[in-house]
Parts: sequence; C-alpha cells; structure tokens
Amino acid sequence: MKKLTILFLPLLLAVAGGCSKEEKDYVYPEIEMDCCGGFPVNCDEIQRGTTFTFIAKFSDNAALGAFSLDIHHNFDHHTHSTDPLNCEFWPIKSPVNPFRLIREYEIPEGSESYTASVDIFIPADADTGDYHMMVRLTDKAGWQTIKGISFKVIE
Amino acid sequence: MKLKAFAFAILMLYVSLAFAQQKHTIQGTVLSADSLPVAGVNITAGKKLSGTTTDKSGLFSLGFLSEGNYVLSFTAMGFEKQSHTIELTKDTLFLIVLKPRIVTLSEVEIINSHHEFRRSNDSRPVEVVNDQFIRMNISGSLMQSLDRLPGINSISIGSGQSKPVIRGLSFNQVVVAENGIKHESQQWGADHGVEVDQFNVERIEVIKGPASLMYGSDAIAGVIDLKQSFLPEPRSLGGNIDFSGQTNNMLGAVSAGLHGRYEKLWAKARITLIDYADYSVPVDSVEYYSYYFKLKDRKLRNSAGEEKNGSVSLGWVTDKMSSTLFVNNTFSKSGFFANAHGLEIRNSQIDYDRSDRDIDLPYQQVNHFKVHSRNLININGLNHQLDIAFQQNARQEFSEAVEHGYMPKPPDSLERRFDKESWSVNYTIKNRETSKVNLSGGVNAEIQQNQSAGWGFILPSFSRKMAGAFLVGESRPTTRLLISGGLRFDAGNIRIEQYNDWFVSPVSAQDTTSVFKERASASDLDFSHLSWSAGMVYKYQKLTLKVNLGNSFRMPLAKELASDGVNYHMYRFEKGNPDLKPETAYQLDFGMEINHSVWAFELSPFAGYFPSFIYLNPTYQYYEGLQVFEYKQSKVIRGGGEMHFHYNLGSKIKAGAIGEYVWSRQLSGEKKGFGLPLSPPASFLINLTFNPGDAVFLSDTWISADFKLVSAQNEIVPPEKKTPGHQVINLSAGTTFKAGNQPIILTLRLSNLLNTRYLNHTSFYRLIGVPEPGRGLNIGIRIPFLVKPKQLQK
Repeated sequence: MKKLTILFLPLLLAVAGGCSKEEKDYVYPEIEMDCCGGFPVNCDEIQRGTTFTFIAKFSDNAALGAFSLDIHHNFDHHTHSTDPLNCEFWPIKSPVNPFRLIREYEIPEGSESYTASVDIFIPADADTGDYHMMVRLTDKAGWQTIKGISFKVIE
Repeated sequence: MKLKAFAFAILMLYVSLAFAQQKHTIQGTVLSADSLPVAGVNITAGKKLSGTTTDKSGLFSLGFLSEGNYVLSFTAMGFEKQSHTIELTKDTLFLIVLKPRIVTLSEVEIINSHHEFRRSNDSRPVEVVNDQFIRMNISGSLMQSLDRLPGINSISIGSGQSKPVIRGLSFNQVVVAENGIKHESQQWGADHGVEVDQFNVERIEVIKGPASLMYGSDAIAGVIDLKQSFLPEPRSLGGNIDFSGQTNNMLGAVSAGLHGRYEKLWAKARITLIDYADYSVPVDSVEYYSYYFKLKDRKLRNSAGEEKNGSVSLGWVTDKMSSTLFVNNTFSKSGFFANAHGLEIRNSQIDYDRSDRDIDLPYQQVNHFKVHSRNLININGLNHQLDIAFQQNARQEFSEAVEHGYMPKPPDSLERRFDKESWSVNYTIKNRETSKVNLSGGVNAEIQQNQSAGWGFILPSFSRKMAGAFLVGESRPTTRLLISGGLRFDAGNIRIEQYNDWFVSPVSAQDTTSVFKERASASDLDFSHLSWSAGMVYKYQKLTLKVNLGNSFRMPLAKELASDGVNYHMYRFEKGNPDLKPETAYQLDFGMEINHSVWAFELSPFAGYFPSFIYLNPTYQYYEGLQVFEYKQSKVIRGGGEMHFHYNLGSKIKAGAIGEYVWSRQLSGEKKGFGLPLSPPASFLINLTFNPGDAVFLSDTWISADFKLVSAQNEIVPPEKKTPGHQVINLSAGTTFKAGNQPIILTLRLSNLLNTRYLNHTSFYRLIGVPEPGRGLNIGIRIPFLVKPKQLQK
C-alpha cells in the first residue's frame, strides 16, 4: 500500500501544481517580409551571377528559435507561395542546372525580434526561371511559421 | 458462458388444459438463456391494452380472453422482443426463453443482461455495443461510428478512414483486436486508419483502461475488441443484405452476408463493397497560410475512396469444444486532399475537378488479410483455448514524383510501401467457473516482419518478436463483491535494419561532400516489462461501485527508436532515440453506476501517471532546412472521466446525457507544463429518443436527436492550433416494416443538421484548416432473411 502511495504522490503533487497559474507560450512567431527593406518579396526578379541579400523581420512574444531558407526551382509549378497574390509563371520546363539552397541559421539566444540578413549568391550558370523560397521560423517553444514566395531568376 | 448465452433456443411448449369454457387463460414462465427467471417482462396479447408482467419467478397469467387469434408479444429490458401468433381455443401454457439483446447505456437504451454481465465482471470501465448501435450511428468508417461512446473519439482522415482515440490516447496506445487477436495494421502514421469492415462487426467491447494484462504491449489506453460472436441456430440458413447511401460524399455501399448451420458445423460469409466520392464541407474555400484553396462545389478535392471486403468463417461446435476458422480480407483505396497532403501547399497539373469520384494522386491503398483459428475445449472441467493467427498488411502510398530538398525527382509515384507479416499464438487455460477463485493463465507469442520500400522514408524495415505469460484471478468473497487481479511478464526484441538514402546529399553546410546519408542505424534491442492490475466491483441493489489500479506498457516502435529522416507528409525532420525505454503507465479508475427503473447514472473518473511517455518533441532547431522533431520521454499525468445519465420520460420518451473530459500535463522535459497532442476537447451530448410503439405494419420504431456541445481546445502543443468550440445536431430514425412476410429494417441518419462549419481538433485535416463534413443524410436498409429451424415450423 505504501508503494502505491509513493507511485501516486507525483500525481497528487502535479494536480496541486497544475492548479497554479503557469505561463505557457502558445504564440506562433511572425515573419514580415514586405516591410523594412525586406527582400525578396513575392514576384520579385533576381539577376543570376549576383549576390542578393535576404532581409526579413522576425518577432516572437517570448524568444525566437532558429530559421531556415529553402530555395528550389518551381519549373513544374508544383508549389505555391503562401502569398495570396499569384505571380505570372513562365511555361513549364525541365531543369538543367537549377539553383538550390537549403540552409539553417541561428538567431541570438533570447531575441524577441530579429532582422535576418543573409547574403545569397546565385551562380551565373544557374537555370533562369521560376523559383520558390520557403522561409521557416521557429520560436524557442517549437512553434513554427512558414512563409513562401515566388521569384524569378533572370539573365 | 458466451456460447451458452448466444446458443439460445426458442422453446415453445403447448400444454393443453382440458377445461372447456368460453373464456381462456394464457399462463407461462419466461426464462433467460441461462435458465434464470426473468421478472418484469411485459406481455401483451394482440391489440388488447390490458397486458401483464412476469413476477419474480418469471410467471405470468393473462385471463378472460375470448377464442381467436392472438399475437403474444414479450418485451423486457435487455432482451430481444419476441412475438408468437397463437390460435386460442383452450387454456394454454407457455415456456419462453428470451435472447439477450446487446445494447448500451450510450444508446440511451435499457441495460441488458450481457452488457451488465460484462460490465459487472470488469473493474475497469467497459462499453459493449452491437451491430445495431453501428447502424444507428453509422459514419464513413468504424471508429467514426463509435465516436459517440463516452470517452471514445476518432482521428479521421477524410470521410472513409479513421483510428480510435480512447480518453485522449491513440496510435499504438490503443489496441484494436478482432476476436481477441491484435489487429496488426500500420497504425503509426497519423494518416493510417484501421482496416476493418464495419458491416462485419457483430459486437464491440471497449475497455477504457490499462489492458496489458490480457493483450500485452500497446494496450495502455485500452482495447477495442471487434467480435464475430453470433452463432447460427442448428439447422438454420439465413443472412442479410445491407444497402447504405450517404448524400454528403455520395457513398453507395452494399454488404451481403450468409450464415448457416447443420448440427455441429456452421459457416458464415460476407462481401462488402463501398464506393464514395469527394466529401462536401460547408465552405467555398479553405484558408491555409493566408492562401485560399478554392473548392469546386464545396467538395474536398480528391477525398474519394473505395472499399472491397470479404470474409468467411467456418466452425464446429459441440458441448465440450468449438473450433472456428476466420478468414478475411479488406481492401481500401482512398485519396488525400490534393492541395495540402501533409503540411505543404501543393500545386499539380492533375485536373482534380474533372470528376469528384476518381482517386488521383496522392492516395493510399491498403490490403489486410487475416486467417485466425480459434479452438476451445473443455477437458475435465478445465477450459483450454488456443488461437493461432496470421496477418498480412500491405500498405502503399502514392504521390506525385517531385524533387524535394536534396532528393531528385523520384522514378515513380510509390512514396511508401509497408509490408507487414505477423504470426501470433495464444494459449489460455481457465478453471471451472464454479470454483471459489476463477483463475486463467496463458502464454502468447508474436513474430512480426516489416518491410519498407518507396522513395519516401519514415520507417526502417524491422522485425519484432514478443512473448508473454500471464495469470489472472477473480473471486467473489460475498455475493456483492468481486475482487480481481493479475500479473503478466512480457519480453520482446526489435531488430532494425540500416537504411540509407537512395540519393546523395552534402554532409553539412561546411562539408559539401556528397554521400548517401544513413537514416536509420542497424540495431538490436531487447525490452521487458512486468505489468499488473488489481480491482474490485461492489454491487448493492441498484448501486455498482468499481475501483481498479493497473500498470500497462508498450514497446517503443522502430521509428521512435531509429528513424532519422524527413517525413514528407508533415515536412519535418524526425529523429529517433535508441535510448528509449518501454512506455509505461499507471492508471487508477473509479466507477459508479446507479440503475433505477426510470433513470440510470454512471460516473467513471480516472487518473493516470506515465513515468516514461514517448513524445515526439518539436524542437526549435532545423536540419536540412526542416524543423527537427525528436523522440523524447517525459513524465506525464492525465485525468478525466465520463458521465452518463438517462431518464425515461414516460414509456415513450427517453432523455439522456453523456459528458467526457480529458486533461493532461507534461511534468518534465522541454515541453514541461504543456499537454499532449491530439487531446479531444471536453464534450457534452444531450439526446432525446422517442419510441412511438408498434403501429399496424411498423415495429421497433425510434426517432432520436443528438445535440452535441464541444468546448474549445486551447491546450495545444506545436504544431497544433487552438480549435474553437462548436455545436452540432444529428438526427436519426429507424423502423422495421414488413413487405409481405419479409421484414425490412430502415435506418436514417441526418448528420450536421444545420450544416454547421466547425473544426474537429482530432481530425487529420484540422492542421490545414479543413472543416468537418457538412449536412449529410445516410440511408440504411437491412433485409434479414432466415429459414427457420424445423422445430419452430410445426
């Protein structure tokens, strides 16, 4: 019987503890891309053989976690941006040497807001055409927000 | 006992009493299948209003009846109604044996002897329902049809697939069994349903509590045991044909069953065909990440599906033994919502809107084959039972071949393929039911082989072996008290195969060497666990009190132990943890039930503690561009319970209420303070049922209305979203009418009467904001037929 009491002690304690007010983070972080010099925005065009700077503003109620960028071609129109505006796509085509970037980035510990600034070089031999960029952002608690935009790589 | 209860016989005994008089008397005795007198049976003779009831000894008497034809009806709580036509020319004596009727409290119906027997012999909360309950609450799949039971919810994947949730736990924490044998399907993915033919289920027993004692690993939250328990009568041949239609997804279903028995040899067979189109939702578009998917005709693109099921059972039954061979095969194919399979928005060149009935990519296809031999024999008062089963589950998931991340465009559309073969052997021995202490002991063993293929990796190939031994006992020190308890030891082994990507990717951002990355490492892991349970049931007149404390467990799954790759459905990186220990849980259950003649009340609270809950923790980190989810173990406490009340407002109207609530909290780990994923919100259901009584050609008529209030779910964990509360009204009605001599059972169910737009927190598509189906009318027609036993045709 004593054993049982021991087993259920944490339970009772937790029920008691559960009643005390705890602040839990239920808020998703936010990505702002069309503000404060954000680049690129939906339907932008970027010249190949150049370096562009990705700029976006991140914020969270508590603490930001990390972010990742994923740039891939959308020559087959398979993905859609999360932006309500449709960009005009070029005709469907097969990739030869598409540009690709998959990279994760850190955010300084404890930041409530952060302006990301990442230099990205698009090689001169990369395929031109429709590309898609996914920006993924987490906060410390594990909530993730995704933004996707379409842009074009041009000559 | 079950055999006895179901191998019922209707005996009619005419004893003529040689009194010549103008007015006659009908006298008799009413017994239950186990030869006990049944008190309170209502007996009516024809349209005469002055009926009678049986006394404590089951005796009744109807006097002063004129000569002529009478239809004698016998109705009693918990028994099938019986009618006999007699030509009254003299005083007559009857012996009636009533067949138990399986209904539950949750139908806001009367309690029956079998149900009561099952419940009062288990210190855990138990629900028992029959095929009639399923017909009354029919939904696209079995677990959705069971959703109405207190403490039971479902995770639905579109309109035709679902998996069970018992008190907020699901996946491998719930065992679905068929005739006592664990149904080995692929229940680890959120989009995997349970493959069973809901037309083939005759009785369902739900245990809401730790059940590892009898079922071994996985039965932490409980068990849903689907039973084919109906045994045809000797020298009978019968069957039924079911037709079902649903307006919301334009479902058409036909199921035909046959059953027959000579003397000792019996057989049953069933074929079911189901076809459904895309289901409709009460919205024109679905918003996801500020993008609106426009829906054509308010239909959820590519959610159509089909099912083809067949089963055959063969049996041999005598007083001392019974042997049954169950063979069944289920096949289902169903589409996934085209615009967001998983979490990412997808565009496609497929013209999904050309037809709402075709199944395009992405879709899933599952074939489940099962052979089960069940053998019971009584030797010198000892009951031996031997079960041997083989199952093969072949699941395939197809989606458009597109490149993703470092993965180039795959050669075909076969994203995942799982082939699972499992053998299980159970042996149980029980002593005499008349013994002072009823003991049963047994051993079981199980071998599984899982092969994974396809270009999308979530699960490595693995094999699993398990064996367990148990001893369970129960005793009745007094007539009011039942004490039960048991112990079980299980040991198991999982052998996981190494898996490497079929494409190359750079080692890291710094080291751009291209390699075939290892996604699962070869491992060989052993587990063991000692589970136990103890409880008691106390009955005093109309009051039943229950208490049960149990410990149960589950072995970690291969993907929890060893996966290290991208889940292309959820677009996240899932990281296994080879250090996981078995997940264990302690649960304390209480139960209180009061059964009054006019009302009944039941309360079943529970509290549980998991020292090592296996939790897929969403971290803030990224790997290969995707959020990393890591399998961790944390301490979790849970609590909650169900409430059930019903009241008879006169003889024709019944009112009922069902409430359920689950609460959970993680006490350690990174999500300390948070609850658990897919927690069903609190809900309250109010029911009104009207039974107008038998009309000229209609019998067993009922009209029922359910008003369900569901609270908001604000206790969420990433990647969930808070789900607002909602209210839904469902109506149903049914009757039995006769076309000549042929009875036809008609069931109507109108779900979501007001076409309310609402989200279900535990639905697979909730994450992408897809509301639940809109208004839909389901029509079911059952045509039973029976070539009656010869002794009845005299």
